[in-house]
Amino acid sequence: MSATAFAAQQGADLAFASVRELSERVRRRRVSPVALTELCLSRIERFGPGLGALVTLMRDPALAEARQAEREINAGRWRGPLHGIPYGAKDLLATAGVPTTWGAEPYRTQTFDYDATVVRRLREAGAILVAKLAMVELAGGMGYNQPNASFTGPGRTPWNRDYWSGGSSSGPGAAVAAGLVPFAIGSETSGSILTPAAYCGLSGLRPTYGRVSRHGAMALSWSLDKLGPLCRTADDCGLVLQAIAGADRDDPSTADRAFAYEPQRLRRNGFTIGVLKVAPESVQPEVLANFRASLDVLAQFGTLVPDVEFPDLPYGTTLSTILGVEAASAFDDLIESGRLSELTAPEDRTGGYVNTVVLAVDYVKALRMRVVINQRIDELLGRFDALVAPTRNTVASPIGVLFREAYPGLRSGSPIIGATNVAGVPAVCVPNGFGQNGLPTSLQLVARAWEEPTLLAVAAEYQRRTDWHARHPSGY
Amino acid sequence: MNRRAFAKAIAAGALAKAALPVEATAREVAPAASAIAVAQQQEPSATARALAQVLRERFGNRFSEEQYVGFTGDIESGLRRAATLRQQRMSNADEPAHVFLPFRRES
Repeated sequence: MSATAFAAQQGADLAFASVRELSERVRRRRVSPVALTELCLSRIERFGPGLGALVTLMRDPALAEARQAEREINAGRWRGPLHGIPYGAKDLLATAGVPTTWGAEPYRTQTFDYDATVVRRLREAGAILVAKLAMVELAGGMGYNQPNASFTGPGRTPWNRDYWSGGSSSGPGAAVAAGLVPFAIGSETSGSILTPAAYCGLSGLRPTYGRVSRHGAMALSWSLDKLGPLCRTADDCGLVLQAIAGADRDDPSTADRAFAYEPQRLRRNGFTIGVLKVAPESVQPEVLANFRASLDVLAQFGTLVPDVEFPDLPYGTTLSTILGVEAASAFDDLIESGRLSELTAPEDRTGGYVNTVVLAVDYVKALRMRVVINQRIDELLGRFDALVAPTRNTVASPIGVLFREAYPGLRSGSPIIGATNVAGVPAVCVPNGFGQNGLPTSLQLVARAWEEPTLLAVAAEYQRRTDWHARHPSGY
Repeated sequence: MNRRAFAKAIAAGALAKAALPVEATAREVAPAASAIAVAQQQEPSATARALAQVLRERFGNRFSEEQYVGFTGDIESGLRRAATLRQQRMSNADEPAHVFLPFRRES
C-alpha cells in the first residue's frame, strides 16, 4: 500500500497517535512498520522544511529497518513497545555515515563513523530513525537571542507558524507536534527539552543527569547536558526513557541505576505536590490562569502544598559560569579559528569569546557552589513527590523578533529551569491549555534525582484527567 | 575608554548577558535593571579592561573597536555576577562538584 493510500485509509489520526497506541497496533500486526515509516517520511517531506524542522531525511536506512522490524514481528519476535515505531533525533546525535551538523554551518558536512549510544539503544529496541531534526546552532551555546539561529532557519511551532518552536531542540518539538514522528530525542543543557515541548504543546522529559548516556552527543557543557524524549504523552516519555536509560561505559557520568517503567505499579492517589510561588506579574495572564486550572486537576489526586519558594542561592550565576566556560572549552577550536563567524545568528558569531577569559577561580567556585545548591534543592524537593510550576512564563516568541523584545515587561524564561538544571534533577512538562495567538501553555513537574517514575506517574494521572495532550494543530 | 563611551556601549546593548542559551534562567542570568543602571554610571573595572586586553592580544584585528567595547561590557557584567559567587562563604573542605578518578586500564 502506498503512503498516500495508507494515509487516506488511516487518516491523520495515525500520525497523531501515541507511541503506546501505535505500539499496540504494530504488535497486533494491524499497522505495518513499513507503512508507518512511509507515512512519517511522507509527512516529514511535506511539512518538515516549512516548519524548519528537517535536516536529513533517512529514507533508505529507515525503510530497511522498517522491513526488518516487519519481518521480525511477523515471525513473532516482538522486541517491545518501540519495535517498528519511527522517531526523529536532534541533529547533535552521531549517526554513522550520515551528516551530524549540530545545526551549525561550520559542521554542515561533519560525519561520524559511529552511532550515539542513544541511537544504538533505540535501534536495539526496534525503533526506526526516520530523520535528523533541526536544532539551534551549537544548542544555543554561543548566546543566541532570536529564533533564527540555525542554518535551517527558525523552527516554527505548528500551532502558529509565525511563532518559534522553542530551542534548542526546535526540530524535535515541531516534528512531533505536527505529527511527523511519534516521538523525538532532544537534549537539554538549560531548558532545551522543556522549552520546545512547552511551545509545541508536547510532553517532554528531562532525565536526571547521568540517567541517559551522552556518548555521541555534541558536548555543550559536559556537566549539564542531558538527553531525553519529546512525546505526545508522559506515558510515552516513560516508554522511550526505558529504552535509552542506563549505565554506559562510554559515558562515565552515567549512573548504574536501574530504570524500569512500570506505570501500573505506581500509586495514583495521595501524591504530595509542592506548588511554586508564582508572582502574577511575572507571567502572562493566560499562563497563570492555566496554571491555576492545572492545580485544580492535581488537587483531585494529590495534596497541594502552596507557595513553595526555592532557597535564595545564586543559581543563575552558577549556571552561567559553568555553562559558559565549558562551552568555550568545548568549542575552543571554533573560537580560535574564527569560524564562529559562519554561524547564523549575529550574536552567536561573537558570543563565545568573553567566556575564554573567565577566571579559573570563579569557575571552580561555581562548581563548589553547585554542591551546596544540589544539597539545598534536594532538601526542598525531598518534601514532595513533585513540585509544579509553569514551564515558561510566556507562550512562544514570535519569529523575527529578539527574545528580549517579544513580550515587553515580561521575561520569557522560567522561574526554575536554571536552578533545576544546575542541580541535575529530572523534570516532566505537559501541555495545560492555550494562551495568546492560539499557542500552547505548559506545566512542569520536577522531583528529586532519580524520581522519574514518580514524576511520570503524576504527569500521566494529570493527562488521564485532561485532554490537552490529545489535541493537535489543524492543517497537518 | 571613558565613562561616556562605556555608557554609550551599554546603552547600545553591549552589556547584554554573556554567551548563554536563552533558556537559562533569564531572571537570574541577565543583569538586573538596577545593576545596569549602576554600571552605566561606572567605568569598567581595571580587571575587565585587563581581561579585554587579553582578548585583544589573542584575536587582534578580528574584531572592531566597537566589538571590543562590547566585550569589555560583557566581561564587566560577568565579573559582577562572579562577585556574588565570591560572596558565598565556604570552608576549606567544600569541594567542587567534579570528582577526579584515577585511571587504571583493566585487561
